[in-house]
Amino acid sequence: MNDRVFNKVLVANRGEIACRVLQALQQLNITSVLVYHEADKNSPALAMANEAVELIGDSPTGAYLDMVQIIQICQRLGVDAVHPGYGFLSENSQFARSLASANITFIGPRAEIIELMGDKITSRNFVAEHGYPVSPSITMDADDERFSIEASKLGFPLVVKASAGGGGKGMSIVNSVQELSGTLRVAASEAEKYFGDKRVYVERYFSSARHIEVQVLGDGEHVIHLAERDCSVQRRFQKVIEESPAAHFSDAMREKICKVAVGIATAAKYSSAGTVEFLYTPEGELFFLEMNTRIQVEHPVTEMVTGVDLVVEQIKIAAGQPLLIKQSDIKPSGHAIECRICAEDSFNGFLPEIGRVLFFKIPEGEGVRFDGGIYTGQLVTSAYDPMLAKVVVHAATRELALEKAKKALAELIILGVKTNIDYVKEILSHPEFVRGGVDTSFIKNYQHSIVQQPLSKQQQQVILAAALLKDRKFSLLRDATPSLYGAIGHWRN
Amino acid sequence: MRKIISNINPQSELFKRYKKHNRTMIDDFHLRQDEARFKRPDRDIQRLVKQNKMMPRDRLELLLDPGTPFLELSSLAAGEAYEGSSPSASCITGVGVVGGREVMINASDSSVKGGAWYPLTVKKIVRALDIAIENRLPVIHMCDSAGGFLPLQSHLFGDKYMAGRIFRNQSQLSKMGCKQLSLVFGHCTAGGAYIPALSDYSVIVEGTGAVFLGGPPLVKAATGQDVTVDELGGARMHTSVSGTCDYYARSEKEAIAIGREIVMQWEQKTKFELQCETPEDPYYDPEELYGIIPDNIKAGFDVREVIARIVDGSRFAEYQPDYGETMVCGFANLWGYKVGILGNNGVLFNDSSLKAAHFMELCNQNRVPLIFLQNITGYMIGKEYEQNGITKDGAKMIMVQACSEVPKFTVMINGSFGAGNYGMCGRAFDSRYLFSWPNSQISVMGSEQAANTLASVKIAQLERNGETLDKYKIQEIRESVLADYENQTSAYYTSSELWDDGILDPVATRNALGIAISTSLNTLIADPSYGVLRL
Amino acid sequence: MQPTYEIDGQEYIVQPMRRNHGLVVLIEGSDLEINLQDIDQCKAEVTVNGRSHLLYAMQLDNTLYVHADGRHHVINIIDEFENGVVDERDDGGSLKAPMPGVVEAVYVSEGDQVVVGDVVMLIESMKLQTEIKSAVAGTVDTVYKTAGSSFDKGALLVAIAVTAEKS
Repeated sequence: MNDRVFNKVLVANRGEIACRVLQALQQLNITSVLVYHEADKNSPALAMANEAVELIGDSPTGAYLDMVQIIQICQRLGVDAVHPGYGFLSENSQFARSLASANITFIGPRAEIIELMGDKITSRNFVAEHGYPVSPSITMDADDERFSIEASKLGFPLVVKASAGGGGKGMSIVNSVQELSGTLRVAASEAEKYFGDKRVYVERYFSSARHIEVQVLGDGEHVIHLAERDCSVQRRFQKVIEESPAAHFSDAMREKICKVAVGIATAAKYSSAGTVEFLYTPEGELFFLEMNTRIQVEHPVTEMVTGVDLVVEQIKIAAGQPLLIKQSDIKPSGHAIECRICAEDSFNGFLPEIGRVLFFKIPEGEGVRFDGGIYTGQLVTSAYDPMLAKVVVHAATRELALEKAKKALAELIILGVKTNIDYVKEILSHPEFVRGGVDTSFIKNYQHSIVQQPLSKQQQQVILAAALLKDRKFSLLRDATPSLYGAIGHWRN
Repeated sequence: MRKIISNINPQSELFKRYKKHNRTMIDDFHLRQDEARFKRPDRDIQRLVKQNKMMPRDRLELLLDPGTPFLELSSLAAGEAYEGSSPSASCITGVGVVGGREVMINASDSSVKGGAWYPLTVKKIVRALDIAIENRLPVIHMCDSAGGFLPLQSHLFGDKYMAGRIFRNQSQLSKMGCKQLSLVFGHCTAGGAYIPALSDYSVIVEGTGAVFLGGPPLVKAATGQDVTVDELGGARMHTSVSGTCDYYARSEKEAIAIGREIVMQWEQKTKFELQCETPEDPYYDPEELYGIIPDNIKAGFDVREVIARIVDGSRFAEYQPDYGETMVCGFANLWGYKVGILGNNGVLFNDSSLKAAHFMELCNQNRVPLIFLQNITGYMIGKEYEQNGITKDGAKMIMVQACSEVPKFTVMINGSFGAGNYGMCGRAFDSRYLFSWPNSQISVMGSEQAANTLASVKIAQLERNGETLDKYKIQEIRESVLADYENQTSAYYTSSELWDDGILDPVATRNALGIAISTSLNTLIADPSYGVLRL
Repeated sequence: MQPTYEIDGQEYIVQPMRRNHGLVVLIEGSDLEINLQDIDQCKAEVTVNGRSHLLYAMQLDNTLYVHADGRHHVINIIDEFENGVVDERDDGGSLKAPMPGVVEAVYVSEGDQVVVGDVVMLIESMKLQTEIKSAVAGTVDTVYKTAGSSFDKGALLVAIAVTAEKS
């Protein structure tokens, strides 16, 4: 029995996940260090850490990926563990190895597991070898002449994925052989740029399948699951809404998918938190998609349904403590829904938006959780991911959770940049979503019915009245005008 | 201050008869205005469209601040002249608010003969600038004129108050610190070129705006040089080479936007602190004025009823109410401003003349502006009155009135005949603004009287030459003289000749006077030269 | 001038008429008496013909961000100045950025001949790469942005001079 804890943990991330991890560290009474780039110097995360150290770097993204600098800071400050959050270096096996060489613990699985699961091709092979279902694909070199022929044999539509990609990044759909070469070109270029590996593979694209994933926790020997999450509602392969439990999902299916997930994780001798993602077709087929060897954006959904603090568990496991939670302890109750709040013009093709957070007000209430690292004055630029925050709700039933989510979104205010708040509210009211009929084509299929509610005449009048009376240009004019003229008003003789 | 007690019964037959008559007259007035403002041959409108020019009134609306009034002056100028070929005298003048500042606007109407200046156009512009000088108003010129209307050049060039006076006025305005902005939307040729040149700020539009002393044809004729409009005086040249214009605009809208920004840099004038209260709408409905003004010039009415429908709360502190009853004098508030009002209830006698003079002295002493509501047939004539010195007393009234230091405003609400016009501050006596109601008439003596006199003279002349005239012929002569006379005494004739600053719908009088008073307070009101003489 | 505001692509004129206890305005043919009481920097109470509504509003330059009745609105204050400038002739040869981002790679130089569909530039925004293709056949006239430079939505990226069809 090992009750080791860390003395000092460095958080190598930013935004809402940095705040989340720092909160867990505060709970565990562990001294925290946060690294940050100058662009994030006003983030509320800095105040949550015991120490904040600036990362030097021209580009913010580059800074958070600067392994050498981060490790130097760890050594200088006597940090004994690093939590990488999600994205950035969270699935970088080289980083895990370098930390290990410096005698610093990487809060996550071992480097070999990261490599195994990080490479989509090797992970698929691993899973298939252990007898679990995977979807058919072509994994040759994109330059190979036969690629197009073999790919076409799979049948369209296809999805091109970067081998070293993940999290929905580096994926594009191809509907015909004409589009194939162009898409492969862009995909390879993106893959090279973001993941340092230009290998791509092609799979049959199931447009009306559901994306169901299972949260697992392992300590290297034992693995438990914490039930599933349905993340089907996506746009451009980025998740927008996640919920647990999955609607219209039989207990038998649930048992099966969790068993497969645990089986895969156990075979890999998984330690830390992880997620096994599956495609669930309308015909009832289950295919392994990928495994994410990090804490995920949508982890709050599982936390609210099971009551388990996943980040705290990650830290304890990484410190060498055995997993004390048994499978029988996991008794999910109620229903949780998470909505990702992104800076975008959702009703106009989800075009990314830039701006500045001029004002924000977060929703509150029982069963309402807001995970965000946003602050007033924050610049929203194209440098980072457009996700600003997450609104997560929990209630006894799915219907109640939907109502609670809609109410929370109506109370959430972010001024200064367009967001998808009203768009997500529309989805939550959409009859098909309410029914639970979700799949990965949901947004595409219903794009014509997920529209902005037209303004009533009265709403129009209120907004226009506010516009005129708040308009600084008009106020200046009005103040400068002699009162007689304002009183006489618009008059012609 | 007590409210005027109105004795008008809106249900009476007389009221209804007057109202019907006046409504018809007002509808006719509005129709004439609409035609003068908007009725243009299609060809002229198309020409502007092809030249990429906005209609002048659209430019005006874009220039003015939202939610503010525009007091247009002399909208029916030249209405009875030139056979109607120069509606509104080819220009638009008036007081408006731009960028929060009170300004006088002088805009060419290029939809009328390319904005060419008729003699009355010149007179109207000069008058607008005179008002600007007297009231220390900044001016915005919207230039788009083809220049002087050559066929009538002898009537707009040579004399003291003709075209040159425009430029003299501009120079004087500048000397006084009144800023001028020119927006050059079209050609400013010859004399017209001096308008932007004498302005403190100027903006010129690419492609359509041009400033030159002589256009390309003239240059070719005079020197043989071939040159285009743009090369000679276009926007690029004047804003980058000669420095004649300050700002270059790619479009008319941009020019107006730049103009507004310039005006917003101007200082706000400090106003004379006239006694002021919170404004209040009249207690009685101003629309009732239509039922109060008679349908025949000889019929009388109580001018207090008119006052009651113009002033705040219909409250009026009448001065010497029991003396000189044909002259109504008193203090009131109009749009909050304290004013002294003089109105006529009949001919002027000795006592009414003296009362008026005394009252005007009081207003000067109290620094209160004077408003004259003219409805006067003249001073009383006859032996008794002459022996009592009616002429002297009339002279006293005129002297006090003419030498007043306070701003004066005149509204001709009905008749304005003979010397009564003088005493009650007619055109010659420098009221800051002078307006007419559509029913008003003005002449040296009443039309019937004058017509009879003229007809008698004509008849006598014919008989001397040997003609015998029967009563029908006499009647014919009398009627034709009367018709001519009536035409020339009408408000439309007056306004056409620019003997007033515009015809007002009676209901619009309150707003017009409020704006007028506001503009008049840009200068201090000087001390009177004497104490009050109890006349 | 009349205050004009754009909501969701629709322009509305809000014409002030006169001052009463509140401001009387004309919107889409309706006379309304409106008033605004600031509660703090962003919260305000707007009254329209006697009915009050609580809302949040913040202005940045010519954009007003409003939250009212549980919904977000973005209102653009139409600037008469911008309205007035004549648009540069767009015959399809001007390639503008569909969204803000950074130039990843430039594939052409000034003087190159291109046909419809040729990829002239690769841009990236929010981790999304997009190929910019020529919409016309012609010669590359100007390349406005170099690799690594950033741009706003609507910025001119490449101008292509359309070559007339040779008969």
